[in-house]
Amino acid sequence: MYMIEKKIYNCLKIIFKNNKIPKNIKNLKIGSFKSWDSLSHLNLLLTIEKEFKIKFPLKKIYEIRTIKEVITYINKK
Amino acid sequence: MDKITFCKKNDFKNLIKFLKNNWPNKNTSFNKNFFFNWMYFNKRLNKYNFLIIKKNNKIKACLGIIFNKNRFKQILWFNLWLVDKKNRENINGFDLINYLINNYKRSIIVTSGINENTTFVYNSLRFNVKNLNHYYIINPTFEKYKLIKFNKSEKVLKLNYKKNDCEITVNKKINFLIKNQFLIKYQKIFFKSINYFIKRYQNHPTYNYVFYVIKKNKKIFGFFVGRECSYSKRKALRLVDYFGSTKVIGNIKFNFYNLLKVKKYEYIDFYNFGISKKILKKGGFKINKFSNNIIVPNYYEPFVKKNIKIKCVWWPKTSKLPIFKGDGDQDRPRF
Repeated sequence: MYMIEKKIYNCLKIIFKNNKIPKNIKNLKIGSFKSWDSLSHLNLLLTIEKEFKIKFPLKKIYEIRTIKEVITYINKK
Repeated sequence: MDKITFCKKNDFKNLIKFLKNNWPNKNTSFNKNFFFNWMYFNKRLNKYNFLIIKKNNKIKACLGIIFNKNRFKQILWFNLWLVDKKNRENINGFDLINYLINNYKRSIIVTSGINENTTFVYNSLRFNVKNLNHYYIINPTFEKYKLIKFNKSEKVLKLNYKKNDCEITVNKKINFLIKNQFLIKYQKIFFKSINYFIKRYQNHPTYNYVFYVIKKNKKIFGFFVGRECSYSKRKALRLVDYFGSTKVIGNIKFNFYNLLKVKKYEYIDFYNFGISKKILKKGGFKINKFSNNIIVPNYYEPFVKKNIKIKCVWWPKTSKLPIFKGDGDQDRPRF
């Protein structure tokens, strides 16, 4: 697992404590777990912001729905 | 992104059903159709000012809007923002806010009375988050108080009415605003039109609002909107809106005391954000510090002797907008 994915994996573990997070996180998105609603998705993005010391632009906060999109955004930074 | 539309007439029953199933409180504005229609039905478009997301012909999320437009600005007050509690993982409720931001770019998008726990949501969405300031004036002529509660450290000034340049007249209709060139210029600051005041207050379907017009040498400088609230044979005056010159408020201290005395109100209160604290203090108001020393009740339906903080949020963050309790859906009856 690459460093970025590893860090995001840890963020997922923080937000979705009661869920088993699969090793391959790239295909995960809102709704992948019952508890992954828009509110916990926002919480996840905020946790990722802290972890990577970045700030998602407002447009991205509304747009990003999948982990793949998060990884793409971080890679571009 | 799911398709977002305004609620059509034939979806009205589904919308009410959805609201009843998902809104946590029982006593709400959507329990009475006449009130709901007054608040949200758009006659011109023949639709409800309610954004909805539908899936399989069922409403899965909604957001109510109260449009307030004058020639300078459009303000969108949103409320009843809900996602189906059984389908939260499949619907992104933020799409509704994003829809407002993308489709009403020159407007100010605002709501008040948000839950403390949701503050982080609005902060993340780059909204400005503030508390409304809560001001009050206690009637010094009572020996015992039933509505308001304060301890001895609270200084209640015993003032008598002194003749001054200002007077407050009580009007049930807002005709005085028509063709008043001096007042009309304040539309630029308060973003409210005469039609707004007529619909929101003069023609309110349940509450009897009154306009308290401030005159100085017979010239109108501004007006408050208020309504009486009562409980246990005692009453208070809740000021829910203001329009006009704010400076003049600093000159009406004695007029307020006179109003308290004549009408036998236990107190007057006034929630707002954007009017200078200094001016309101000069006008006799004190600010509720939400300490244990004082309780200025907010809820009367039913009566609850408790201080209530009202949080408001708006977007874009840099907008300047005076906010009052009467804005949006805050001052509403509970059925």
